[in-house]
Amino acid sequence: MKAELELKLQAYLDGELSAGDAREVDASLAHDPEAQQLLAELRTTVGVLRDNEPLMPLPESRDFYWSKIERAIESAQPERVQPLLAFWYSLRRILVPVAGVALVLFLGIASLKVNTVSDPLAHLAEVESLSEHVSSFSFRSQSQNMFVVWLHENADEQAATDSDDDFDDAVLQ
Amino acid sequence: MATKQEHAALTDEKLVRLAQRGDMRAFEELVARHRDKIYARAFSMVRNEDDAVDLSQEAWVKAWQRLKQFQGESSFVTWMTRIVINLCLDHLRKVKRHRAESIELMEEESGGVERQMPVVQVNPTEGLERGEIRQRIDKAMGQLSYEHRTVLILHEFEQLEYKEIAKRMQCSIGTVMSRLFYARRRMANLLASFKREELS
Amino acid sequence: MSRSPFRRPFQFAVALFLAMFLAFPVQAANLKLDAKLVWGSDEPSKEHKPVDPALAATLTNTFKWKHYYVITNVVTDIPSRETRKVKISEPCTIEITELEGPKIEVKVIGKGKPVSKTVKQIQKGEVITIGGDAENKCAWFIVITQLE
Repeated sequence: MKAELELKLQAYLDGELSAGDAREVDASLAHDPEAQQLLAELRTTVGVLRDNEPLMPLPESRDFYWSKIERAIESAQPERVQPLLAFWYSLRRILVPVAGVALVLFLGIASLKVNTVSDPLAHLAEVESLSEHVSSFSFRSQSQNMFVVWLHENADEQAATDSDDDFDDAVLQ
Repeated sequence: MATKQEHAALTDEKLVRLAQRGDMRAFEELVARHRDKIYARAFSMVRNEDDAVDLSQEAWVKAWQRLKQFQGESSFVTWMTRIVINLCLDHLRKVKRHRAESIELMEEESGGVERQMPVVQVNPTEGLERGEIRQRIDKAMGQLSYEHRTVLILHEFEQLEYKEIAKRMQCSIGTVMSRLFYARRRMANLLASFKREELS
Repeated sequence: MSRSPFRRPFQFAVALFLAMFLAFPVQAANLKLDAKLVWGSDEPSKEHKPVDPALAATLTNTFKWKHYYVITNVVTDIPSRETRKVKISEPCTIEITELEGPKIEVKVIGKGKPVSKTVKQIQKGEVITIGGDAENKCAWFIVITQLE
């Protein structure tokens, strides 16, 4: 069978032929068993593929996957001007001593509790990168009851610095 | 601010509108909902887990940055899929510059190999469980060159027309047609050979 | 003996003070922690000991690597408000300080240089993990849990 006809058969199957060309192919199919078989094979293959696209679940947890996206979005955004910040700073001078008193009272009352039921502040954490070559981000996996800090070498630094600063070797050797 | 559960109950359209107004938690819900599909599309194209994770995440970041441009002409997931496909195509073009042409592509472009493949007369997946079929398709896809795999994905799974595929792959419609023909014939023969291996 | 006018209130205060300490549980002075250096890889390894099934499930459900192996395991007692250094590998040490809460401050030090600091309230059953990518598409994890 000629290559041109084979491609026409395919285009016929895919609905990419003009009406006139499609009628021509229809007519020739009636007398061409080889073309009929080829068309059947193509049709079966298309059907099998379309009904059975392989599933591929993401190999990372929701939290880990999202935390990297969130970090990339935030690092790409310019810092927003916070008009309320100045107002907050001026209030702070009054509020800090008041807050201090409130905190002492809170701690005093909290220390008298017999059982510590789930502390809503328990999941807060401070994470700080102490090296200019390393950045970090953190997240908490509720389902796994795990708090994660992920450290990674800054790409630019990695290119510029010597290999004796290889952070990965520093941990695993 | 709405909770995770409240966001989970919203439609994609509502979540998109919230995200367009800056609601990151609404966007997070969209990511959670469609991350598998977007990752799967990336993996099907680049066949490398790490690259697929990176490319899918890059697609989500781009989507956030361009969200205001999304007007709802298609579904959100279709729009997202187009973004990740374009990123994968860019990635594959970069990778291609650094490796030799595949033998498969050379065979296809010299013409005729697919015409020597015997016509597969019986459905090679008949009687198989869906999971098994998907596994075999995945295995066969891994044996195609990236050009053939891409044209198959864009036509069979993304339902794009020849001219749209040609535009994305930066080639002629004729090239799309011959690659698609080769890919389909090769796929049929691979699935038939897996069946023969199973029976022998 | 003459009765001081302040004696009754004073006795009451002492009794209340003692009652607070006897009636309410006293915080343990030492914090007992388990610190592991874990290696994550997609390739199986017969030379390394896999982590226990519970930790394997936690790590597998969070990260993408298929296999997790224990490289080092150290159990350490940290007295209240003190710091303990734990050598987790040849070039890497972690310094754990017990803070009020109880919170812990974990400093990761690689080749003598500080890399990161994490301060977190520690709860029984919670896993604190500090990790990063390693060569050959593997990963390292410092996994800290509180022991009974």
